[in-house]
Amino acid sequence: MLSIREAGGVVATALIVVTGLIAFGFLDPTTIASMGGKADVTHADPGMVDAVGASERGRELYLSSCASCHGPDGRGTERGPTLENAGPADWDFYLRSGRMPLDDPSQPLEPGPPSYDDADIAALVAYGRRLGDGPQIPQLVTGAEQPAGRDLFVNDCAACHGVTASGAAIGPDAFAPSLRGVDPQLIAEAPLVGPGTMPVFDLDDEQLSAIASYVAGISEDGAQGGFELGGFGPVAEGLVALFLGLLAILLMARWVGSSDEADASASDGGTGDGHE
Amino acid sequence: MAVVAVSAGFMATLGAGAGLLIVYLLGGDPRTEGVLLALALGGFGAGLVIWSHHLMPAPIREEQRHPMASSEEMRSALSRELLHGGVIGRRRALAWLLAAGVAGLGAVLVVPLLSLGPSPGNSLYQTAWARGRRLVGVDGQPIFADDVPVGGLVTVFPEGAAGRADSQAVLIHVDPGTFEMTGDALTWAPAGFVVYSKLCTHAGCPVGLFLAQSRHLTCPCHQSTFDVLRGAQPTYGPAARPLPQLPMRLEADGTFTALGDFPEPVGASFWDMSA
Amino acid sequence: MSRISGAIGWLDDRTGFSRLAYPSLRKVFPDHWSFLLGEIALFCFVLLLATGTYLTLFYVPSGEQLRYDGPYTPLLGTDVSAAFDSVMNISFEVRAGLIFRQIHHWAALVFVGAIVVHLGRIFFTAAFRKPRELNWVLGTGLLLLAIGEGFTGYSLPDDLLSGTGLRIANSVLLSVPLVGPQLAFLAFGGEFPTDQIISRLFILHVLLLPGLLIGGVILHIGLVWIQKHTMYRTPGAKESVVRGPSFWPVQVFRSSGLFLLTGAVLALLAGLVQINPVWTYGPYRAYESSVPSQPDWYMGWLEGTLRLAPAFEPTILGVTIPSIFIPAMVLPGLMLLLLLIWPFVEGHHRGDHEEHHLLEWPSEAPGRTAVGAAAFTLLVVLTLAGGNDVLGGLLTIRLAVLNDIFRVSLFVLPVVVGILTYRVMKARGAQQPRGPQGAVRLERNAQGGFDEEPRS
Repeated sequence: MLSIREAGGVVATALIVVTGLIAFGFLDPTTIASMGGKADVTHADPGMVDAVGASERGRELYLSSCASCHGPDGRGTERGPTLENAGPADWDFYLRSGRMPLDDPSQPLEPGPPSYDDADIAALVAYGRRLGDGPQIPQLVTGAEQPAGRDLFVNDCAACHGVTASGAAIGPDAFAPSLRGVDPQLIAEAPLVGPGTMPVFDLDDEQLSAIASYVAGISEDGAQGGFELGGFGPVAEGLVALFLGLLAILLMARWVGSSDEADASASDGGTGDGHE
Repeated sequence: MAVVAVSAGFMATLGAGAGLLIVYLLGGDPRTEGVLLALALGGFGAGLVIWSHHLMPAPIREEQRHPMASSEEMRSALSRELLHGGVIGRRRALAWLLAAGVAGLGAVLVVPLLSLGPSPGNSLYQTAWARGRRLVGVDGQPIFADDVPVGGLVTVFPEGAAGRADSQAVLIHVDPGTFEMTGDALTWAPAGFVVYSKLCTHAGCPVGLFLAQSRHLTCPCHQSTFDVLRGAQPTYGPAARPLPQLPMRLEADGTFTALGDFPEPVGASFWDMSA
Repeated sequence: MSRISGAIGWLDDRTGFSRLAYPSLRKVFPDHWSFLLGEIALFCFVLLLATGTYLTLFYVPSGEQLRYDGPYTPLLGTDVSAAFDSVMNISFEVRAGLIFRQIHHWAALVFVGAIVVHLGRIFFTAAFRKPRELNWVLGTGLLLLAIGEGFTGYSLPDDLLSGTGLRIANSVLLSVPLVGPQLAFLAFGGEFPTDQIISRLFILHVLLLPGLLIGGVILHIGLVWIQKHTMYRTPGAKESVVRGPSFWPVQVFRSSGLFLLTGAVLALLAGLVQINPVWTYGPYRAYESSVPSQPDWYMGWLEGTLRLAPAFEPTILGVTIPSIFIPAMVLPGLMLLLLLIWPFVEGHHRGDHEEHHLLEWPSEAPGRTAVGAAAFTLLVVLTLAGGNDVLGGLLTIRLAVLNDIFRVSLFVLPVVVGILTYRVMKARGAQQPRGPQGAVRLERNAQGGFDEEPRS
């Protein structure tokens, strides 16, 4: 049976180890509830697909998976909204981020692995053009200017997603997901789509590319000083300072000083046996 | 054994110190610098500690405590010395004037402190918004109604004062006809557009988070939440006042102009806001 | 031997220092590791002074605007303050600048943590009893100064995160009834945001607060030196005797070693783990916001009070009491007041006005231990609530639910913990016999030494 002192030492060491594992990225607390749509599927340019053939395939897929909630004519049912204002960007975003198809309409939209491969997504997007009209799929351009991307991100996106793009719970009921590691195409589409409780932004392809490029670079540009702790800021830094730093120093103090209170007592030559 | 450990510690310091110098001369890198610094400091420290634990006789000694208090005679003598035969105490009137003089000196100290800042005056009741001022974005360019889709928002300022902290506001576009305000407030919300002060009435953080689905604005600092369709009434969180609404109208060319300043003070509450 | 004697002789001829140095070297200090906690705080403070002095050589305390043209490309051409620019310079252009900046900030976080742990040890072993009440008050003052140093310090880079904190501080000052606006305008030099605030924070951070801290630390350690350290009360312990190894060489070696080991831990943290990446936050703009926004950990409890407090803003006799006034000023003020006067409150409550040099075991004072445990629980809940958006995001719990959980915990947990602690301490206290109960009185005897006379 461990004495309190020994138990304390074990707990302290365990805390240090766990904090260290999290701090240095070996244990990811965000996988407890992964919020970011980590669709790291590389994909072909979504715009360039054989229109007619794809559109027919898309119609088949739509009728089998989507029509039950969105209606055979895409004008909605009591289970799902109308798609008359959904453009290619909406279709591509919801499918590619795995938010759609949704098995149970009462469940919130959650990102995850897409249910369709690139070809099928392109087919559904092509069919979608027949059902409704809305924002086009942004074409990402390379070489987008950096100060501009950061400025746009901070002015439009950072309020909810955070300057470090790590996301957070916002307001009484909502969540803004982390954008780290998210497919740049999705980052570019989301402002046009306004998924869930996200507002809609009128941005052109160059602006969206700049934003996506900035977000993609956040982890590299950002981690100049060492492990980033997920970009959560002072909350994470405080936990590391106390449960890694201070705890380690306290253990060292225990090594340096005596652990026997009798040494620190004023007894006449008594050795003092175990107490506390 | 301990001698080996101590030597190892001190040699680690020497090595790490040299390594640190080399890394520095080669251009430096925070990670390597940190590890080498840790080795240098830690090696030396561990060496000292092991030396003190194992290579140093450390006899436990005793010392007598003494009561903190001085003797009665000393304390009485001190009292007598301070009172000094009533040299101050017996001259009551003078003593009171002395005390008053000290207070006067205190006033001298207060004077430079008051120069630290201007009197608030009217500043907290005014922003740069005025009748006829056009709404512009952060870049100073006018905002057009077409720039802001339904379910969208943009940060706006009065023309000529882009970036001014007390004048920051959000222009929001919702479905026309969904506002639940009445009277003037409804007039100031034309075609589904409305402008509220962006300064949270709780602690002054910019309320830049628009929850489009529920049409609420929420603040990132302490999660005060305001209902956009009902004049930014607080519906959750610690804010107790609604966000002031900017009187504005939509012009024929698609730009917006203010009809005046905010009707209430913006930002965090203070004690005499109704003045 | 002769070289040392020579040196001693030279210095002693001019200062007579030997008669001070000799008893000092032989002075006895008990060696228990829990008595080293205050030293850890001291070591952090020394490291802060050293790294801080280095940083002052590069930092520019000015709010004047200029265009950034350093190596961090995402901010190229952006308007930033000279202060922000200088911190970017330290981080990216001064060689070894970033490591020392990060050591400085990590040391600040650990500094306050060490003070809190040290305060806890003092509290739970009743080391604050007469004659050490003064040192307790002094120590609480040092805690406040340390927190103030931290807040002013991390506000110096004028970045988005710390600037948001300054805005909140300004609003807290504004909220004081009758004098709020004047207070805020005096402190900041005008309506928020001002250019002067950076230079004022700088003077507070590098001159006024460190001056008070250094003076306070000297007094604090001086009192320990004069009053001699307390001892644990094990069987056979006596109030009248201090026991331990002497200052030189053992304590000096151990303390110096611990100092260097503390530095090593902080250096390792600073090299491997990033802290306060101001380049990602960017320069402060009063109209920009970000989540999550928190102060450094030691102010997290204040943040928690602000997030959990209700939207209660009454107007009494024409005076509006803003909703942040009570959670941000009144409640913390009351808590700090209670902390400051605790030794006097407890002394009065127990009718105990005797000198004590032997510590009490926590189980011997179940009431105090329970109160301390409850207070600690309260602070932990508040601190966690300060990070509610991070927690809510990680655990996918809606804030409406999470905040209610925190509010209930705020009232229920401290009571539960207090009652449990009381029971456990009472049970332990009953089991183990301790050293001499109650206080003793020291009386001079005929031989000039001291006798212990028990007091009932």
